[in-house]
Amino acid sequence: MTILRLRAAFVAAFGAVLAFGMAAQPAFAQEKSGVRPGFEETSIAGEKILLFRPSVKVGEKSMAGMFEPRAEWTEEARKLMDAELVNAQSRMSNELVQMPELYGEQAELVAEYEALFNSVANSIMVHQFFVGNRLPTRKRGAFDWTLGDEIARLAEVSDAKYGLFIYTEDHYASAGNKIMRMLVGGVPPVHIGYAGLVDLRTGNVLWLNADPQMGGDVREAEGMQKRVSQLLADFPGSTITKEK
Amino acid sequence: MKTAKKLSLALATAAMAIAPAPAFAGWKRITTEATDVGKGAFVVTPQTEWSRWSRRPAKRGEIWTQDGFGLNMMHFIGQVGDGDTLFKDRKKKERPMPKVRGDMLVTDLAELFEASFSIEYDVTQFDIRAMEPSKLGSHDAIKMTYEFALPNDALTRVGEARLAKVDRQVYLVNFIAPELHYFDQSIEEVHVIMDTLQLN
Amino acid sequence: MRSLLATAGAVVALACAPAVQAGDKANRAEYPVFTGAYEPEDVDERGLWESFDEVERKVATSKDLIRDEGINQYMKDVLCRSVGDDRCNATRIYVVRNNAFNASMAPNGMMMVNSGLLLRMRNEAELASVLGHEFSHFEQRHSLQLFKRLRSGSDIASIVSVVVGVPLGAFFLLDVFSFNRDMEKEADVASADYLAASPYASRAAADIWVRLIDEDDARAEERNRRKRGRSTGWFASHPAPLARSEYLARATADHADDGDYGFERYGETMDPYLLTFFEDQLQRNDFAASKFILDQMGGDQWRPIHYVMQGELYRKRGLPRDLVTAEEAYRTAIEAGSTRPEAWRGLGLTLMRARNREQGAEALATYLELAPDAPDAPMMQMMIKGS
Repeated sequence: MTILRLRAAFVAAFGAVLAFGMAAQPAFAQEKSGVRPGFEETSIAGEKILLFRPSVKVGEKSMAGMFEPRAEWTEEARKLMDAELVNAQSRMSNELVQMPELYGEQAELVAEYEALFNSVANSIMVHQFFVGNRLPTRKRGAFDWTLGDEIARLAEVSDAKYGLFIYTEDHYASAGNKIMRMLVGGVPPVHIGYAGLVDLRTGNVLWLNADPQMGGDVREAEGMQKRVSQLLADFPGSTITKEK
Repeated sequence: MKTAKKLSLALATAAMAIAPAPAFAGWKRITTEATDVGKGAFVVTPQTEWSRWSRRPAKRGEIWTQDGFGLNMMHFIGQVGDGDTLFKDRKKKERPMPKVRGDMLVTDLAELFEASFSIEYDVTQFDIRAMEPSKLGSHDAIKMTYEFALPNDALTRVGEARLAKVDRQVYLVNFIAPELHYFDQSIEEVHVIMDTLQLN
Repeated sequence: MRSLLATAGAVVALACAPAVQAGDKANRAEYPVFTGAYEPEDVDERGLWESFDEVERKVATSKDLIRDEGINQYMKDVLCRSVGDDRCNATRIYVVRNNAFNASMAPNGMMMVNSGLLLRMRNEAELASVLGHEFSHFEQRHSLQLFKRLRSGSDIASIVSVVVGVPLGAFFLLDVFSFNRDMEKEADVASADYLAASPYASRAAADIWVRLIDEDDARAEERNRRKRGRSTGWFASHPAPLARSEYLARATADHADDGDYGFERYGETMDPYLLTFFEDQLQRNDFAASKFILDQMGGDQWRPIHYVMQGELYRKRGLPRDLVTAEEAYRTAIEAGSTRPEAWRGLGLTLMRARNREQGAEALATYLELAPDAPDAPMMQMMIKGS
């Protein structure tokens, strides 16, 4: 029965996601980070930051170019990510507070904001960082993106003024995919990642760092260290710098 | 193994065929002056600036946004005659679009939109919040507000559509956005646009 | 005996019906030995569990879940009656609103069942057999086997496809394993064993799969495309439906029994949902398959709700001759005692479209009496006035 689901899923993935313009196209991206005008690094010094549960996806790009999630890679990457965030903490002036375990409506609200953040981050990547695809309505290029001030409800749950969202998705090419690309071309596998800081009182995105071609093999500790450094490179007020 | 490969190849091909859209296409600025929309099917005067996508959803149609389609999206589709479809019928064998029929009641238009929209964006869940008589420009129209979700998405998206039939031709203006923040941010202007536009 | 049971079921009724007592079925088999609670046993299994717990978090907050307690409790009850109480408590069932026929089982005990599957079951025993089938993938740790083979890379050929992406908004992907043909057969046989030990009629399982093919054939014919069911890769991961029905029939013949079909109980639980599920199906502009589904569902025992659905089916296609069929269907539903406001709404709109405005307005007025707070009430008032 799963076959039917699979088919429907792909129709949905391409029909809906592309049509909504949310797909990130690695080959075109240019800028990689943005800071809200007027945001001062010092304003968050020592503040608690609520860490939304990082979204980690790892899989394989098949010969036909399809993404096939790999549970064991994803699980390994998640463990490494959690450990590495603890490490990174030591180089930040902020305390990262884990999202408390929530149930029912509160859990749904948090999930809904995570989904909204993903939508906003996709718009930023597709229409801000890729300068050639700037919307005429955003031609001036000011980094003034928001999730809306209704998000203040989450500040109350957590007693934190700021929220940090992290997303990574990695497609590793299978042998078949490599050969196919040599023969007939095609886009290279995705290694997309982004991290964003949001003011939980206004909903404003203060800082976003994104790259559709991130480095670091997230399936290994060393690679994950590189990935997290890259994700949090130039995080306001931190001493984290991008590893080469 | 052989069948499996064939299958996955077939699936991948199918998926690619469904997505001919280049994710990046041209954008054109829509100013606050009176603008011909959908090859002259509408004349629209927005209050703020919008961005128009170069790819048309229908022969006489346009899609606008301000912050990207995931955050706000407005459809204008006009002059759809008997036997035509609202959105382009791109995949007739896999997901055929329903057709306009000359004898449709105004309430049938609402159902036509519901099915067409669900097929176009692969929406599995579409619920009407309200349906009432309204105007599109100066013409009698049906207004529906609805919510929908993309498969397994945690985001509630809401929409408002108005449809009218003028001289046996169907006109649609539709706005969708996430319910959190974005819908309310634009809906007032959307109402003004829907109230003041002109149908040709 | 069977009809007696069915009547008793109808009286007790509904979502929280107590499990039918053992011994109701003359020759009920024993459940296979249950090996105990499902704790992940080694590193591989724990890892798989955890990654699916992560998926489950997302699923539990997604907007397309049906959260009504009634239907969720009912699903759990049916699974428990199918596989036995000690087994069923290891799982959580999520009902997803999606018109496609599908169900899936994750290794951590998360079962997902689409509303489109519920729409295509004719009775509770069929549902029990499908739930039992999915459950046995879990009990037999099929995902784990696939996963281990994949990891070792030595037996790639036996893996049909390891995958599946379900897009969650911005590219969240859900991992689900597609089981291979042997596993599907193993699950079929196991579910037949469950059914034999359950209060249900074992025979119920046999022709679900053939109906699925017939449905797609109907769709293919309408859309003028090649039928792909019987021979091609469409069902590559599953045993061929005909063969499947045959061995299922054989397996159940071994357990020849006179168990319960739960026909009335299924109907009474599903009736409040059927119209919504069917409307989701109609939205796909999929007339022939929708008609097939309805005909199978109604069989030779059409209930009033089935006639309302038939009305919707024809009214929404809306060819001139369809309006005649639709009107008749709504009228039959009303005469048969349907109290669904949609019957009058559909009748009114059908009559109006057929230019019988006066009677149409009357029917719509009745609709508004029955459902004064309907979301489309203002629109329907306008239709009445304008006629």
